[in-house]
Amino acid sequence: MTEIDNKSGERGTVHQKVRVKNLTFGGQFFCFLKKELVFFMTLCYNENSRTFVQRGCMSDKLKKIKRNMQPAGFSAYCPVGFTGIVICMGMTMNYCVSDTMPMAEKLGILADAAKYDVACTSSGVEKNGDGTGIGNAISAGICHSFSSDGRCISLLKILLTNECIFDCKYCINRRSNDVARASFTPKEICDLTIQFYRRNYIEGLFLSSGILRSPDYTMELIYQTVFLLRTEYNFQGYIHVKAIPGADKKLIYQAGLLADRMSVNLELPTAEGLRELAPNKTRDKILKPMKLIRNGIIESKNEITIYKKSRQFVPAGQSTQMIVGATRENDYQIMTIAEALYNQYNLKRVFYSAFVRVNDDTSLPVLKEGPPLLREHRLYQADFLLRYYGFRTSELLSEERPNFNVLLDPKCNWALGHLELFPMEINRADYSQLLRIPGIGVKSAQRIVKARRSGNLGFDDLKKMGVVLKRALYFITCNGKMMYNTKIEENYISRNLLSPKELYPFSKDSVTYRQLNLFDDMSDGGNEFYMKSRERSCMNG
Amino acid sequence: MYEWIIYCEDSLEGVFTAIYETYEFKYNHERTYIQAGEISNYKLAEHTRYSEADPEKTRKVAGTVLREFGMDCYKLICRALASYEEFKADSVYHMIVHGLSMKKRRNLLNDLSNSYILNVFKMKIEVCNEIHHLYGFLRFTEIENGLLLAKIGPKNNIITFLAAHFEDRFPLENFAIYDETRELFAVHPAGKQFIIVIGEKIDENVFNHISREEELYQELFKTFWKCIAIQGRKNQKLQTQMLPLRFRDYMMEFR
Repeated sequence: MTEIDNKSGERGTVHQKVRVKNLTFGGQFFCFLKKELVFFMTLCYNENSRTFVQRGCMSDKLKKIKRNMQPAGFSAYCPVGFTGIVICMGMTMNYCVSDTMPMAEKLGILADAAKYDVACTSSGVEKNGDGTGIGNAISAGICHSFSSDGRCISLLKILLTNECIFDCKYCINRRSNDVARASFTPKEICDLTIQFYRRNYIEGLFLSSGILRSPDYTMELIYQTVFLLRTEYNFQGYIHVKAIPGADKKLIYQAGLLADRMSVNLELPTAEGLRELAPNKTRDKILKPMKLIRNGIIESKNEITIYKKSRQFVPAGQSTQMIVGATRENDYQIMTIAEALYNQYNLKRVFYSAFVRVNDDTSLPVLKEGPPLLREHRLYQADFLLRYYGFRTSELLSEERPNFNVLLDPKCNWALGHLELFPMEINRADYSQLLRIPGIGVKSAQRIVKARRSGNLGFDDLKKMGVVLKRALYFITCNGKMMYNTKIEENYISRNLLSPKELYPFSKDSVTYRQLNLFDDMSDGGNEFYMKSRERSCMNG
Repeated sequence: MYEWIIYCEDSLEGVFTAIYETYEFKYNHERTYIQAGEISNYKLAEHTRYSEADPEKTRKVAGTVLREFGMDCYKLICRALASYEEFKADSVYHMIVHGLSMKKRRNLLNDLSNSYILNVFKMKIEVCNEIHHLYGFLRFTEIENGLLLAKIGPKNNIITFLAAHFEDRFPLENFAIYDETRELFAVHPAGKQFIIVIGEKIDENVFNHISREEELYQELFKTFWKCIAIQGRKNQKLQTQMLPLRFRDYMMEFR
């Protein structure tokens, strides 16, 4: 309790969060927020109807705020985003500004609690609206905005509640943390989703939750929300829900019939890590719903071939995420697990989340340089190599060399280790070989294969097709000729790939050798390279 | 120097009619240039003429493109012609000329070493990228009477593509999209097909009469937008790379 002077010079008392039922008489109220008068009102108690009548007077500044105010339990208003500081003049009374938490505060808490979930994809499913409701989805997914950390905002990513009975060491919402707690009702989430969707702020809903009471209870609330959204509100946009480990399989299955994508977080790559940091979770408990969803998807695909109109189960597939850098796993272990997840569990995506230290806990590592973003970036690069480029983990890493090269991306690194395969002839190498050349991506490889049907390709054509020549030139020939007189030698190529601005080895106009300096490659160059690689593209496509 | 410069209305109809006429009047394709819109100062030719858009000629050219090169090519041309580039009509024209001179006409799109085809591809990619950006970055504001209104300022003329997407998405909403740079409206009455209105200016005052809930939801989204960012990973450069500044004037969370 603090005391603040009010206008007339009398002293008022500030009460915080006290019950409203004790208020039995009217009075004048001033409300301060950071020493600024936020609102002032008169309450009169009506004996007959036993209600309070508000005769408010608000300053101009207050009127602006008023629009954002929500009616509290009785006819007073409370500014959004703050509860219960009220000065009452001349009398002492127990009084609560807001019995229910304002929407904005709730949204703030629950979005904040959900932000460490990586997956915000809206991709993987293409469906047109049926003309009776609201919403559609396109398979590439749509990013609606980008937050200041450069990650895309595609779905309304919130928790149903951040109350949790679990005590995972790395999680901000763990039981033992003293943080503001809030819960949405299913209807509130639906209203929010529809209203945001109508204004084109979001592409759909991403619903996760802390464990409230029990996994079953939580999963049921999630199911209720999705059911309401799909049936009552006739929402046909994208929905991504979490399957709660430990929940009944019928509940998970029913939710899967309504959602587009489901995910179960693997959290930590190994069972030991899980035991150490997430005492309430076990590997089995997490893998069980994953298997369930995988089987559901396979069954549903078979069903659809027979009954065309049956509802598809999780049409956009399932995903998962792992925290990188909280425990001692190396990149090789992480990638092996990711590969197994892709092959055995048919996952659409595995996400990697650089560990951010949000709790002070002795069992968590202290990372002086902030979250291991570069490591996360390398893992994503390797992940794309697995999914689109036909690489295997065993080609990229091994027990002896378990971590990725910090300076070079995994593909360049691989190529430098296999120089016997290079240079490759662009006009003859087959598609899978083209994909292995640094500087050539899926799109440019496809273009090359198409374009060389109608004639031989030269370096100019490659450039037009989007091949990154400054990388590729060391590894390719066009019509038997290399672009410049470069050596096929590991040290030479890596030095050039790492040079400060990744320049061509020769200036463009005349053929001159660049002076090599003992000191210029690793120190400055490495650093700049490091900076550059931190600019990642949107990984959520 | 060109022998002929034909200029036409900046639309699919205009360009297709002009292409038809080059064949009709047997111009030398090597020395003919087609310009959509006004002729720029830097092009000189012996003769210039204006070609009036003609539905019959348009239909014939569209039919030829569909028959000889296929649907993919037709869609590509439609998107490329929405580009803001000066040379779009000429590139499409020479691409068609090149295609008709080929033996295997269906392979036209694979011939990326031809500069005209590459230009058309580039324009199409740019247009499609902008369409995809605006699918996400467009913001509707709810006006008092329940109308959802959006203002955009795209480089390319893409309002029809956007309207078609949002028509599928919000079939039961009344919405309108306004292209500020071209003064175009796409208006969609609930449950009906959208229409394009040309040459109407927007009454800016209309944004002052927003609905009761609009400000609440704007504030809510701003709260969400701020809270979802992880401070430890702050990266303004990446944000600018993914969401270029030119879109931000029209997005309410950046205001």
